[in-house]
Amino acid sequence: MKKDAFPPSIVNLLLAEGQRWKVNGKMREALGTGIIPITASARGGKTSLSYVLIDYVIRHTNRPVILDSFPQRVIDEGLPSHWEGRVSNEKFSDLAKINKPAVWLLDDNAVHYNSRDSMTNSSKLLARAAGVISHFGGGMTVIFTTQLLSGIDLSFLRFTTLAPIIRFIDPDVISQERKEWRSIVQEGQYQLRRVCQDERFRDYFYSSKERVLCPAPFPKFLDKKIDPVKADLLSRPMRYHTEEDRQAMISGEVKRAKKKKKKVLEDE
Amino acid sequence: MNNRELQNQFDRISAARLSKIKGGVSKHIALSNSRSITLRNKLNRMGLEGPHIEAAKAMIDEIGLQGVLENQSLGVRFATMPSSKSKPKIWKGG
Repeated sequence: MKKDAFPPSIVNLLLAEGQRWKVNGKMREALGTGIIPITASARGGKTSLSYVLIDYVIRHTNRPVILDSFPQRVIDEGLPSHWEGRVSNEKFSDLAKINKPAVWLLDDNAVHYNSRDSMTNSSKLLARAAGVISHFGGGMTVIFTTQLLSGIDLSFLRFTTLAPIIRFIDPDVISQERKEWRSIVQEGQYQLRRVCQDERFRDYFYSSKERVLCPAPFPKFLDKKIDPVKADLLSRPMRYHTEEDRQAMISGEVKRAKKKKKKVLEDE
Repeated sequence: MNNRELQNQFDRISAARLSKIKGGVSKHIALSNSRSITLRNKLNRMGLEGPHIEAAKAMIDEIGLQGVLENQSLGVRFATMPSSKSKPKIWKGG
């Protein structure tokens, strides 16, 4: 994978701060901090593209990679060998404890950071984090996958440098997208339709910053024909959480349970 | 929705249906004026044929079309010009 494999807005956030690469024949220094939201409907290639970006980080930088709330089994058994020692599993809420310029993957975040949960603990955390990710650990980057940006609390996207990526979005769902994003999402769908062979447009992605299409390579480690177990561990990581954890993710019971406990302690 | 918007909507529906009758109507009927049709018919009845007659018919149509377009906005007139379809922009590295 070449250092300029992706449009400049994306490379700018993936490389570490100050790392140099060539853009239009001139050397440029990377910013190394910001948010890369990847938007696509289910089975639209969000997770696989985020792994491609992480693979780029591992090959071209020495930044640590953190997979937010991934099941330990996926970390232990699912990672490609050249990722070993570079990837860990932390909660995004432990952001302040990480003193390195990490690249975070927050996968399928509509569940955790939904706008309906606005100002719950996790959303508050995100809103605050957006303002400080450039300071913590020498500048962090967050790769963020979601089915629609309308599901995300806007605070997270307001305060930092963005490099949005658009993939296939179900035509019946586009009308539900935020009005600020809808036209660019529709433009992305039009551009993808012009070049993609795959019916869910997984062969290219659209970088909204440069308004350019980019070929999306499919990593070998996700190929089910090579290693079906590893491929499944990485393509559907949330499946490998315990049933209790999966239930808690959907119902938000973890948060409620913690709040209740606190109240009881206060009453005592 | 005000009257002008309703009229525009009705125009669009009419135009869409008109173009579907027996495979649609030719450009000089749809977008030119009655004089274009009359002159074309006259030339046909006179049995005149050849490239110079085709050129005359084209000129009649063009004058009629311009008559229609001169009441339109610059944007609409500009959009009627032939243009090549832009190629999709694909990232090929810096």
